Amino acid sequence: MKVFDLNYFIDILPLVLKGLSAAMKMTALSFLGGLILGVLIALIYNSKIKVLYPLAQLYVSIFRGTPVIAQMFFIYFGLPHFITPLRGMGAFAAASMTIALNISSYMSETIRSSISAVEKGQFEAGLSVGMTNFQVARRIILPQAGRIALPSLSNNLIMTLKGTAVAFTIGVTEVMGKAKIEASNSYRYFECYAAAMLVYWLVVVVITLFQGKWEKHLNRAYQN
Amino acid sequence: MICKIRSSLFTAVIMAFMLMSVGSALAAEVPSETLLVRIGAKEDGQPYIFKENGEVKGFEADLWKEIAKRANLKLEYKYNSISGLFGLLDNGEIDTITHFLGITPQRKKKYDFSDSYGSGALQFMTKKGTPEVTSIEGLYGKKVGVALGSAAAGVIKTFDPDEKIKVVPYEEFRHIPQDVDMGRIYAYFGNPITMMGDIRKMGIDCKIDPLVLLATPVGYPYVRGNENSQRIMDRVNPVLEELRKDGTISKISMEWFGLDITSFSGMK
Repeated sequence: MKVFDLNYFIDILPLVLKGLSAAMKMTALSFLGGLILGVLIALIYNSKIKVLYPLAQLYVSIFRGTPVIAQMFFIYFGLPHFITPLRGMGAFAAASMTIALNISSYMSETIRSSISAVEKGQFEAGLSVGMTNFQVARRIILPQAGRIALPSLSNNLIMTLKGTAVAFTIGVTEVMGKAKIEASNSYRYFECYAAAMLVYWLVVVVITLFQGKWEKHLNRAYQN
Repeated sequence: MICKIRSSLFTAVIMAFMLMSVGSALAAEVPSETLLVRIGAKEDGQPYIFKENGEVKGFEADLWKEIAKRANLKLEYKYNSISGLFGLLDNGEIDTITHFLGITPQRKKKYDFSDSYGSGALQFMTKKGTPEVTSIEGLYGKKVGVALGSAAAGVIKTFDPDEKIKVVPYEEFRHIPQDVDMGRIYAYFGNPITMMGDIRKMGIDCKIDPLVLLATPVGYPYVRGNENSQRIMDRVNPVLEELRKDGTISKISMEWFGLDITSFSGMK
C-alpha cells in the first residue's frame, strides 16, 4: 500500500470540496450574527448599563472560556434533553448559532478596543461641526475604528471558519465530515485528511489576500 | 448340543454388546474423560464476555459453563484483545475464541468453526409509537442513522444503492439512540444487542423492529487440522445442538441481551 496515493488524493479532492458549501454558509451566517452580537456587547460594555453589563461580562467569559465543540455539544445534545422545544433545532442551525455566540465574545473585544483607539477628540470635533451623535458615529468614528479593527476581524473570520470544522460531530457534513466519511470507506486516512487541510488552507489564503487589499485601500489616506 | 448352546451364547453376547454400544450412542451421556479447553476472551467485552471481580461473566461465559457441564470440559480462560486472541489461537496457546464471532467467508479461509450457536444481526431501532420498519422501500426519504465505518453503514448501502434513504453517518455512535428518541432521525440501523443495551441503559422510549437485514451465524473458531481442537469440537458440537433444541441458548440470550439470538434469519 502506497504511503501517499496521489491519484486517490486528486480523486477525493472534489468530494471533500463538496463540504465547503456547508462550511462557507455556516461561516457567513456565524460571522454576521457574531458581528451584530459583538457590536451589541461592545456597546453594553461602553455604556455600562446597570443589569446588562455584568450579564455581558458573564457571557463573554463563558463563550471565550470554553471550546466551541463543548458549546456545540451542550447546545445540541445537552439542552434539548430538558428543553423539549429545542429538539426541533436542526444541526446546521445549532452549529451556526453556537459558532456565532462563540465568535461574538471575541469580536466584542475587538470592536470595543478599536472604538476606544479612536481619539476622543474626533467625537467632539464632529459634534462641534453640527453633526448628531449618530452621524459622528457613522461617518467619523466607524471608518476609523473599522480600519483599526480590520486585521483582528479578519482573524475572527478565520477562527469562525475553523470553528465549522467540528460541526460534523453534531451532524453537519462539512469539509471534515466529507473527509471522515470518505476515509471510513477507503481507510486511506492520510490522503483524505490532507485534502481537508488543503481546502481550509486555500480558503484562508484567499481571505488573507482580500484582507491585504482592503487594508491597503483603507490606509490610502495615511500614505506618506 | 454344546456347540448349539455355545453359538447361541456367543450370539447373545454379541447382541448384548451391540445393544450396549447403540445404547450409549443414543443416551446424552457425559463423557468420562475431562478435556481441557483453553478459551480466549476479552476482559471488557460486555455483554458477550467480561471479567468482573476476578470472575468471568457474560452470555458466552454462561453458555460455556453449560457446555462444560454437559461435555465434561475444564475451562481455562486467557484474556486479550480480539486481534491478540487470534494471534494466540494461531500460536496454539488457546484452543478457541469466544466472542460472538461471525462465521464469515474471510475467516473460513483460515479457520474451521464449531457449529453455529446463534446469529448476529442488523436491525432497525425506532421510537415507540412509530410504525414498524417492514421494508427498505418504507424507509425512502427518511433519515436513518448509522455509526460511521460500521458494518451497518456498508450493508445499508448495498440494500439502497440509489441512496433513496437519507443515511446519516454519526461519528459518535452513542449519540444515535438519543437522536431517535428525540425524533431527529427516524431509525438507528445497527447491532440489536448494542441497541437493546442502549435502550436499557439510557431508558429511552424505543423499540427494535423485527425486520432483519442481515444475519450472520456465529461460532467458535479453531485451527484447521489440529487434532486436539477437533476432539474438543467433536464434543462441543452435539452439546450445542442439544442446548439450542432445549432452549438453553435462548434463555441465556434473553438474560444477557434481552433478545433471542437463535431466532434470526436475514433478508436476502
